Amino acid sequence: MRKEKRIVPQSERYARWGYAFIIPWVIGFLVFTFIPMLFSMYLAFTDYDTINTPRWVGFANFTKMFTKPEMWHSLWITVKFGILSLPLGLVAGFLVAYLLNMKIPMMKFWRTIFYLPAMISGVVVAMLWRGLFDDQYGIINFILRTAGLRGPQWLLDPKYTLYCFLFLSVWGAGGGMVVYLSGLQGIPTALYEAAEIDGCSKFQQLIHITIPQMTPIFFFNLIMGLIGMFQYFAEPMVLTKGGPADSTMFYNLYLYKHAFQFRNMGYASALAWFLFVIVLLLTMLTFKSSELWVFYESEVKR
Amino acid sequence: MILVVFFLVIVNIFLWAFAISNSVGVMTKRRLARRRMIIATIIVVVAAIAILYPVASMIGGSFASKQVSRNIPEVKPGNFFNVIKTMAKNLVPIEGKRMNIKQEYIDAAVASRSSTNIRLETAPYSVYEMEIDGKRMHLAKIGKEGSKWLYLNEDDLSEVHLAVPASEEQRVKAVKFTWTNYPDALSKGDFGRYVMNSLILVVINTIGALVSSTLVAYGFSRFKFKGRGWLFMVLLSTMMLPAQVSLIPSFIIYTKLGWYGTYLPLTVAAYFAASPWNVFLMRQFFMGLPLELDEAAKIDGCGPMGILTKVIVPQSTAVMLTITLSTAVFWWNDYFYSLIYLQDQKMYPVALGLTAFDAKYFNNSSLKAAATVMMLVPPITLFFFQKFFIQGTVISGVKG
Repeated sequence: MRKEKRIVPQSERYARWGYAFIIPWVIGFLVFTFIPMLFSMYLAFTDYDTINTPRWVGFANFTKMFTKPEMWHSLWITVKFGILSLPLGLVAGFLVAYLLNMKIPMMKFWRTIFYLPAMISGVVVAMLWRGLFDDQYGIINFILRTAGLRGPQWLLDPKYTLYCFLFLSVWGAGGGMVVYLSGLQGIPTALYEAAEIDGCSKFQQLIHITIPQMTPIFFFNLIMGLIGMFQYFAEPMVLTKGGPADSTMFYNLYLYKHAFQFRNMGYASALAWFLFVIVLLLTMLTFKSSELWVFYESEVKR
Repeated sequence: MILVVFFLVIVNIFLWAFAISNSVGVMTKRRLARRRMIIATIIVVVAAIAILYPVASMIGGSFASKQVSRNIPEVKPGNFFNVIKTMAKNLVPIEGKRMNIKQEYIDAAVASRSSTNIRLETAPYSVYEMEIDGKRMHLAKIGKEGSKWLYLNEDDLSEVHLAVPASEEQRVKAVKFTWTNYPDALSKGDFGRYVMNSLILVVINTIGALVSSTLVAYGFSRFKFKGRGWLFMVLLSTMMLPAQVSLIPSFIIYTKLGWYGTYLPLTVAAYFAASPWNVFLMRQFFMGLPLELDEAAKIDGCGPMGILTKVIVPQSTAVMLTITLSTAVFWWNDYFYSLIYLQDQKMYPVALGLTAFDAKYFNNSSLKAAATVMMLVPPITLFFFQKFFIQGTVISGVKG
């Protein structure tokens, strides 16, 4: 009896190994994510400057946050930038992928070039573009002047600063191209052959086959783009530092300013949680709406 | 607004390309396809140039000498060829031409003037394009005689001219590469130290990410245990979690531990599988490996650790390389975390260091350009392994 009991079944022995292997992640999750999250939730209800002990203030941080026009302003800037840049980036990335998928010569070479911006640090991207935005020496205004237009002071005029970042984001749209390209190559060629026989033009094929087939990938990139929007930091920090007149005070920058410059840790935690709720809502909304426009192969078979 | 118009124009060109290729009924299919291909190639090439241009002009600027003052490009309304010309000019460092002249020609020139009011310049001499007696010629200024300047003809150095002072616009332009910006940037503004700091961070974090994500992914892919599916869902959901939520408390905890201003906050988490992407990628890859080899190794008496090191890891070089490269590039490029956790400028990694460098040498644009290019070089070099990057993006993107 006793001897039999001591023999641990193989599956259970292996289960122990399984737990042993995932232990680093479990510890990491608890120490670096879960406990800090709880702590952050507590901090959001306190006034804390990292020197004195946290003082419980109830919902004061949240009322302060929702009544402050600066917070709404930075949220609006972020959302506005998202509305402008995400579709632009989506279309630009898809266009490039579509063109590269036409088996044009030296495809690998072009793909490398389009992927290049994805490898470059935001700091460097900002440095690369700063010179081009210059009012007098910059090439952008030079082109505009040649066309007979008077270019604005891109980085100094609060009306235009946000659009500078659009240049940057379209320039970097090639990072998403890779995913589109693999999606395009995954579309069964039988569909195109059938369309060809039915006399569809290439444009009709694009509208009725390629784009519907690509919607899951659009969807993925859209969600990642949404989340990325609230992480946008290095480029505005280096190019404009949130200025002029707070015109590029993206949400993450606003949070950074309150947390690490003013040391309002309580208020910044409230901001972080509000950000979390927004990202969660946006993600859920995207998931919900996806039923309307995302096409999955499996739905047809059903 | 302008951007939107610009964008619409591009979309229009694209649609127009389709319209042409579809409307011409008489064309054969092959000619149609070829025409479409040509249009696609043109658009791709133009877009590629637009992407490379900022990088290329920065590289060009890094070879310019410090003394060069930038000229405001001359605008010719409506002349877009001029735009292309100016853009091309920005890619190469252009300076006013200077030349050395043998002393005997200088002496001969001075002797021929027989004036006592000559003040000679020191070599190298600036060259100007001037019109003398209706003839355009390149003249090297060797000195002043009274209010006029003394020139030698570049083509015939024995020919001496006394003429009005030339303006800076008349300087003959020449391409001149100055290499010294690179060693200067490395030695002057601590930039070499920043590079070293970054390399240290990259190595430590890459090892941590590789080891920890291999172990965790192995646990998730090869063992059945209670709560596995549930735990994996938790792992996946942390991918969507904005980093800010845990950022502030982590900062406070690290500060209380006395880790603020050290590399510990930047590196420790990597050893605990901090990036769910890496674990996910690795697990997907392990799931695709055949189980038969595991079974065979098990029969040969390998334990779970033995299977991992002798069977799984040797088969996974591709995914390991993907994770190595993406982690390395992430930490080489990191700005946010080092900005938060580091205090001493001497500890700055290269991205943060570049901003410090930028502030310190704000008036030396070529030195800054050299530093920026140096920061660009490692990621671009890793481009040779782009297959693995792309694989990573694709696996996590499409199959996820």
